Amino acid sequence: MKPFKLSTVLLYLFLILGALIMIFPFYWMITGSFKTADGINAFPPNLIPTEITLKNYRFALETAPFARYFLNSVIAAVASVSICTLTTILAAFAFSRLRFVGRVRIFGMLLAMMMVPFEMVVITNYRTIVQMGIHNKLIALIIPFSSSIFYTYILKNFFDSIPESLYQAARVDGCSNWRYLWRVMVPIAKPSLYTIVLLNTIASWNSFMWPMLATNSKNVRTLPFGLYTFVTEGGARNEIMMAASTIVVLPMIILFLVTRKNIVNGVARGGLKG
Amino acid sequence: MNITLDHVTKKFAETIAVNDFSARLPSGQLLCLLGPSGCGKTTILNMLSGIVPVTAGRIFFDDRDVTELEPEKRGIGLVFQNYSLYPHMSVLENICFPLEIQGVKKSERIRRATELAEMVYVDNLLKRRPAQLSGGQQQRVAIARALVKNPQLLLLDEPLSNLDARLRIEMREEIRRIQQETRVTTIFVTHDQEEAMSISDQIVLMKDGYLQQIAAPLEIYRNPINEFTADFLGNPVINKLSGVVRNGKIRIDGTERELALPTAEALADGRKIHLSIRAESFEPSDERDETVLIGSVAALSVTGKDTLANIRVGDFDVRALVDSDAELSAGETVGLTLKSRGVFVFDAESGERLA
Amino acid sequence: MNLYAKNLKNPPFKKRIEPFLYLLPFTIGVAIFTLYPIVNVFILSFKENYRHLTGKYSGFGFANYRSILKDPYFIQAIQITFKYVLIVIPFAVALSLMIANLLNQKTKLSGLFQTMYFLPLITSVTAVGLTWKYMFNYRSGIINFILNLFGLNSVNWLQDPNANFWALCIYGIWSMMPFTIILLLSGLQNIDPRYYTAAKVDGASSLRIFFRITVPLLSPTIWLVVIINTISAFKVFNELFPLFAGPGIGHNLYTLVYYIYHQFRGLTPPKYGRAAAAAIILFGLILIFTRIQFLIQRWNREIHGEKSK
Repeated sequence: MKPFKLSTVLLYLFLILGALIMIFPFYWMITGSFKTADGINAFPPNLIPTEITLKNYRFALETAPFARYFLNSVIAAVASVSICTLTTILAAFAFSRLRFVGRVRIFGMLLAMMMVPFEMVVITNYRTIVQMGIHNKLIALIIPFSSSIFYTYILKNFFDSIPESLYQAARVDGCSNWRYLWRVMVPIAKPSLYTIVLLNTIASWNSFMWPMLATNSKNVRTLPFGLYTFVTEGGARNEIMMAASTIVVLPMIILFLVTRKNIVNGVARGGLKG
Repeated sequence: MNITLDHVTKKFAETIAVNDFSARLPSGQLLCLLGPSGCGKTTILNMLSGIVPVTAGRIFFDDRDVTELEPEKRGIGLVFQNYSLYPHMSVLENICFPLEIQGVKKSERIRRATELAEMVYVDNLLKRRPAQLSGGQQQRVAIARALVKNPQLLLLDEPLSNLDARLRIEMREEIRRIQQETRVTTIFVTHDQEEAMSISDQIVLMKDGYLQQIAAPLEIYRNPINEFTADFLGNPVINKLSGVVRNGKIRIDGTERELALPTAEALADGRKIHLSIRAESFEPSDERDETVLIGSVAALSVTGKDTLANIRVGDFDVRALVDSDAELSAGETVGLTLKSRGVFVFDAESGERLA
Repeated sequence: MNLYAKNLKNPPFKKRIEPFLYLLPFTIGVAIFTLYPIVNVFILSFKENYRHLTGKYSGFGFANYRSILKDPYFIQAIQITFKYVLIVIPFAVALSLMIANLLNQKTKLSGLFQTMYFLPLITSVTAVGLTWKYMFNYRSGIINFILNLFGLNSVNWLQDPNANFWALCIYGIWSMMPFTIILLLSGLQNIDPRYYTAAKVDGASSLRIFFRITVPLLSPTIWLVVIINTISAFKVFNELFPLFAGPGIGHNLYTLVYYIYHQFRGLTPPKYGRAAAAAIILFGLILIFTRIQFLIQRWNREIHGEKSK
């Protein structure tokens, strides 16, 4: 047997301790969701549930339309991410490969606009959707996110790294821009696009501030805002709150477990808004 | 297809990449655009392909003015230095792609692509992705892709410079073979004079955006039009001795005697010249008269039949390739007569060929 | 002249508008939901006595700015926000640096560790915030239980106006760490391992290596992380809802973004001008830090050569 060095043991101890702190809330949320009212309020707390129940989920689903919230979240995420991905691909291609008057200047302006916090534009956007008459409609959660300067910037950078000579080769062969984009650029950029779609999906799924502003009736709420109103309006008990939170978080946890490497690489390359 | 460039000029923002370039390039040949980097050879290629528009002048393919024609309508095949294969497509798909764009039927596409793959010997790799190929194989695929639509003109932009030395020699012979099999007019850009000498029918030599000379390799080697041309071609590099004309003879700087050169007799007295002599144009001699250069042997390296001798002549170190039978030894004073071939006189200022 | 003499230098109309067709869908979204609001908020912040319902205003000037700068709630919001930034950033970055450095020592299980450390990155502030609320619970929360284990008294994290700020900070640090660790870790992985080999050959202790080699070489990344996190901490807002269902006890956690939100959504009639002015001030702060970030990135490129994009 290989002797362990003390420093190695300490290293692992420290890492394990830190890791446990990081995931503890998730553990606590999920186990809490299965605890009975007595179990969850027990003090000292039970690290492992003594009695397991599914009642909390049933209760949450019965008192608030979580299925509806879930569906709304899915619709908003799928629609806004697909529209945004499409506009991003087209714009990134134009900025990366096509030549037009003011290309550099326009792109520079967009980069400058990227610094503007969402919290600022929200003031006007709220009024805009009211004036458009789509306030409190699902579409209000989709069209403001139909284009993203940030993702366009990321994808344009990736497109730029595809050798220009590939484009020239295709042009000499008579390949149209449209065909080149879909037949060559997009397949090559698949990993990048995949990351963009993932990060955008996560952002959409978790968004709270905008749905809070743009929706108020129950049938258009998405999960995070639905969860919040469920807790504040109903004064939900802890175990119910944990069950509802688990419903919100679980899809993203699964997504993360499956696509961790993509997400982490994407974030490391600056693929997350600050 | 004959290609004519008529006073073609290309200006980029500040620089003139190609300056008033006129040439007529004959059909069915393998032509090398040769020159040091930045001489405008790639720009010429890009203007021929239509990727870069010309600033002034016209380009003709046979009698057709293609100056304003878009790349895809010019009927050309293009091969890049970095191969530029589509990384997400297999070898077969890569070769098929130009035909796919033209809307050729799938079975026909595959038939033609396979045919081309056989010609460039990649028919056993059709299923592979570019990343799984060696550089040489990638370049073969790139050539097949460029040829699959039967172009009138094949353009190759430094196609060998990403390959290692051995592959480069193998591939340049391949390109020669493929060109001779297809007889497609081919223009090959390179900065490597040896490459150009070994495969081309004609060399188009450029410098600083200007055309220097167009001629067959041997002709350009034997009969350079100016000093740059003489310097650029040949290995070892041509010897260059500066001197002054005195009474129809040449006084090499740092020597005390005149050299009589039949071709230089008519030159004006006092003119500063460069005397350029190829390494193989010396012959050791026991003579000591005015037709002989005299120097002392500094170093010798025997390469077999020939010996490369470093000889000090006046202010200059001269490299002479002499028969090993001459049995020179270091420190010895030798006389060197000049052969009639490979001895040139250029104006010291302009580089213009005087003799 | 000749049949083909059209293109290249003077492409036909169709070719010239093609790029704009590609840009059109993107531009519509950006114009309506980014460009217009920027201009609009800017103008709004200078409109005096703006009435939302009638759209009337008495003129342009600095009245909104003067008014919010005199507003004790705004001053308090600025104070709270800065205090939050000053506490959260150093802790989050220092802890992340330690963890990143440990994760960088090629351990087995690094995939598992990454999963555990980075999980908070992708989860909803609302759901996880509610879990923290439960953990911070005065009577049955596990955090107080742990404090008790160490012989400390329970803290009323959520309802005590002296403690709730610290609850917000703890949650803030926890949620900021995954992102920070990822960036620091990728910075660490860009350091040429030969530096470490050289130092080990010279017999340097690992602590010395950390402070004399790792930290100096990593410092551009560290600063970058500090700036990005500072900008995001300036916008602290979402966390307030799950944890405290609002800005704390007696508005004691009234942050800058909450102030903006409150001005145009929490008041009747809404004070759009003041919200806009506060937003412009937030933007100004972010602009300053973005400028610093830009300078750091240039510095970073100088240290690591021109390779990284």
